[in-house]
Amino acid sequence: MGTLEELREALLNLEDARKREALQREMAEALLEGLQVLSVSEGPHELFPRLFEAMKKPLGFASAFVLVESGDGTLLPLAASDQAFAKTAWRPGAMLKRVLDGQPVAVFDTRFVEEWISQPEELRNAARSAIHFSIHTAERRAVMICVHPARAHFSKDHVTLARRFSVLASQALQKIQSEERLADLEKKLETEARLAELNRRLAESEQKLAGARKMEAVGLLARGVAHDLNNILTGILSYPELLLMDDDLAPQHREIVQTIRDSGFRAAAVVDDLLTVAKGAASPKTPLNLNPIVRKYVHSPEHRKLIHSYKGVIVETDLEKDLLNIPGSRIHILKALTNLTHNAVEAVQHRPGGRVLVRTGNRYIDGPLKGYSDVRAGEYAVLSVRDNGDGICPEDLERIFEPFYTKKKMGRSGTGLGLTIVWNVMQDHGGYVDVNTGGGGVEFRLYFPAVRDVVAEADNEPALGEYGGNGETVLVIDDLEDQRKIACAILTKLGYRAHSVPGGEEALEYLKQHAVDVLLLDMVMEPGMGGLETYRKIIEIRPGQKAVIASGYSRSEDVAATQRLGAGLFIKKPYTLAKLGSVLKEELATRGRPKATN
Amino acid sequence: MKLASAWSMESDPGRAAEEVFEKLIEKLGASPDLVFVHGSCNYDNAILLKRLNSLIPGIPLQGGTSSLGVATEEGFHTADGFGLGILGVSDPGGSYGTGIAGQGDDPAKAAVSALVQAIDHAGRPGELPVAVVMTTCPGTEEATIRAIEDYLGSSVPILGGTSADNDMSGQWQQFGNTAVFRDGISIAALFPAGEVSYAFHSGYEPTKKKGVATRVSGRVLHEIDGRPAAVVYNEWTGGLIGNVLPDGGSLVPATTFTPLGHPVGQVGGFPYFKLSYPVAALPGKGLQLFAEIQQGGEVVLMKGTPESLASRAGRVAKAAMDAAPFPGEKTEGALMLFCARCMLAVRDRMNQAVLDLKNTLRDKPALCAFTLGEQGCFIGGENRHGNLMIATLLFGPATKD
Repeated sequence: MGTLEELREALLNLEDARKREALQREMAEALLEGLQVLSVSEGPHELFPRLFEAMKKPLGFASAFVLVESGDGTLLPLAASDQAFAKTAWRPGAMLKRVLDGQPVAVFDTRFVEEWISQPEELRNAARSAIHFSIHTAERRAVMICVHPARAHFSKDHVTLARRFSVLASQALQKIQSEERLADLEKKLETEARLAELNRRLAESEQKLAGARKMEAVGLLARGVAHDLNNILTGILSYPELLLMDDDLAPQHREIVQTIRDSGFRAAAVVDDLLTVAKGAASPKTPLNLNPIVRKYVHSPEHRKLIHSYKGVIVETDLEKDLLNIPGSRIHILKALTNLTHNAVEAVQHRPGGRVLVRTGNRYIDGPLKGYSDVRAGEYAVLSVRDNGDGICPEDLERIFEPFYTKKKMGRSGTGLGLTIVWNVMQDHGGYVDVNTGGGGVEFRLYFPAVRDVVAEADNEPALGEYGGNGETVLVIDDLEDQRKIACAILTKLGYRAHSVPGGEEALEYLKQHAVDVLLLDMVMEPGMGGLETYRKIIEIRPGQKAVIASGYSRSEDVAATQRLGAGLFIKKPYTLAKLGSVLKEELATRGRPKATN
Repeated sequence: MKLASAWSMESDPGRAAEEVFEKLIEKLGASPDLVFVHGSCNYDNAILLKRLNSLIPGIPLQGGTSSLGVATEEGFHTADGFGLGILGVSDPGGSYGTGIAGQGDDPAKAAVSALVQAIDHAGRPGELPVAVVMTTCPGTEEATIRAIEDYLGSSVPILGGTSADNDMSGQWQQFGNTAVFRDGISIAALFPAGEVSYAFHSGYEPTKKKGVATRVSGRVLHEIDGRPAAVVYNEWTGGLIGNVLPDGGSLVPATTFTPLGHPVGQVGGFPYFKLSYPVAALPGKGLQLFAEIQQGGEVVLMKGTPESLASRAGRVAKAAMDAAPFPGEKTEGALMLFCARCMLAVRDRMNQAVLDLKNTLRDKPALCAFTLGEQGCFIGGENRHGNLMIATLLFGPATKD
């Protein structure tokens, strides 16, 4: 072998190596560009179109598209550089099956290939030659197809390049798959979160429903006994009052009678609590400010007695100067405050430096509150009671508002309804209770929806001389003899001329013969007509007859209906002498009531 | 993929077919998926092919006559003008098909017909083959290559050899599954599961003697630089054909070591050539060639030596191995088309040539046919027909991308 021949062969080898190197470089550059596309593309819709652009020059195709194998083996378009190729499904024949198995296939004339023959003429014209190569992930098989309208356009080098690009395209497919999976996962998580939220709301609703049922049961019980108890208490409260008005009462007897009366008041308070938590015990609301209620409470004998009982506990107040007004029921809010303060004082009674802080403040709420799914955004006046005791453990926190759920020793203090009343009062006021507890004590925050209404001057307790009668006639209609007797005794004491009847029928008979200035009408009478029916018949013979409604129940639908017929004020039994006197005075002062239209 | 070769020097075509079949099956250990068949023209090849067809029914067969006999990795096989060799390819993952057609007066149409048969036979209609192997009769090689390229595009490597007889008397034949032709074209379309490599070289070097083919018609070179081609050639070769120049006559084998070269491409500034073998001086002082030269193209006097020709087989195989997409040592086997004139010129050294080939291929199977023209793919990707050249096709495993 000559030297020249060796040189020539070396040159041939060199040229071959150069060609291969050039091809490799071209591939590497294209692959690099493809990798950049993979790394920067956002979303599956962008990925393949950009990859097609990167691959177009080195692979020399006019159009490209990707088909993904579906569950039934059909190949469906995933992406296409030309929408003409994004429309048809492909049924793999021998050629595409080989491609799916990993063999790249170059077709010099698609008109001879089974899979292409079944495609529309339009596609075949746009794709006289084609390269098909497999792209796949562990879970998905797909085919990428590059086409050119010229026959026999693609070469072995294109096939080699396509083989390399299949890795890129597979990565793209993997990326799409991962993004799809991520989206599915996010959707699943979202669904699960939504489901969890629904479950939470359901549990909350169930809890509320259970609570409501319990309250309803308590309410029914309360309503059932309240009437009788109040009737009984009327005697216990009223007779001592009559006796105490007697100046000749011996001092030693006066003290006993006062004790009886006070006990009656406490018993009445328990009944009142029961009625407060009972269903339908909605209280009338007037514009008020929480600060005077707090002040009134801390200066009340009840609070003083509390402080006296728990010496060492300091109760402080911190009241917002410009506190917003609320529509509220003074008596119920006072009741809630009393219960909270009482609980707070008891919670710190054994703690040196035990403190209770009663605060008011303005808050704007636009976010959730603990225990409430929906909170109306807006201005709130907040009444809070905070102590520095041991706090409430989580398991108790779940149940503190339930009726009769108490950690206190029964009989020692409270009725077991204190926080239930707080809850009901807040429900009744359209507000929220927020309880914050921890190692540093517990704070109850009562959020009352605020209004900009002006607060009326507080009613003052009338002086005895202001509510006495002037010989006006009063017909007492009550089925209970005791009640009639008490009422008549008080009315007489007040300066009225009282006459009583045991039922509606008797009242009608009486009124046919006699006119009276005002009726004191019991609502629940058995047997025979109730208060509503009685009044309806009375106004048939005595149109515009004035009447005060008295009942051991809370204000009810019957009361409202009777008032719509023309009856006047409502007074709840047991009533005090002053209260009855005031109500009668007010009723008599009104002009004749027009009959309600409904 | 596995390849095996087998040979026979039996003169009886039936027995020869049976012998090569038995050897092949024994070596291959499986039924082949493609068989290249080359044997001398002394056989009744119709009987031989029929017998082979019956032994391996349905298996694609492709080939043609080879001058004197064949060579395999086991040696040069010829006895009394008889020699038969086959190369079997077992590649269940691949697809192969063959086709054959008589050329008549339209060699291009015949080429396409044989090609379509081969592609369809492989079960790959419309698909681009990895390589095409052709065997044709002398004279139509260029037309055949053009037809194949027109049909498939120019990217598919075409390799082949012009079927040869033993004495240039026109006894050459082309083999296919369905026929044996004297003026036909036999084609194999290859879709292997693995890869192929190829090389197309001559054992000749260009000299400084060169000119322009100023008048050409077909394979007749009339003038070089405006002067009678035979006269110029005689001058370039120092009077090599002076004795036949006045009246014309055969130049075989006198011109074997001094063919004309036609530059096909360049490597690093150095041209590479396809060769045209001057087979006769014409009375008009033109030269009858065995391969076309383009009019207006450069014509270079090439020069070879018995030493370079004898070592060509191994060196071309090595070039193909070096260029292979798979590691060269993974070559499973080779088909080689070796110029019969070169073989005849170095016949006494053929054992050495075969040994070189065997060593280069590391004892892998090979079948070498001796042909009257060679078709191959140059390094630049040009498919060409040339004379006094060697074309080789290697089979190897699939590459891992």
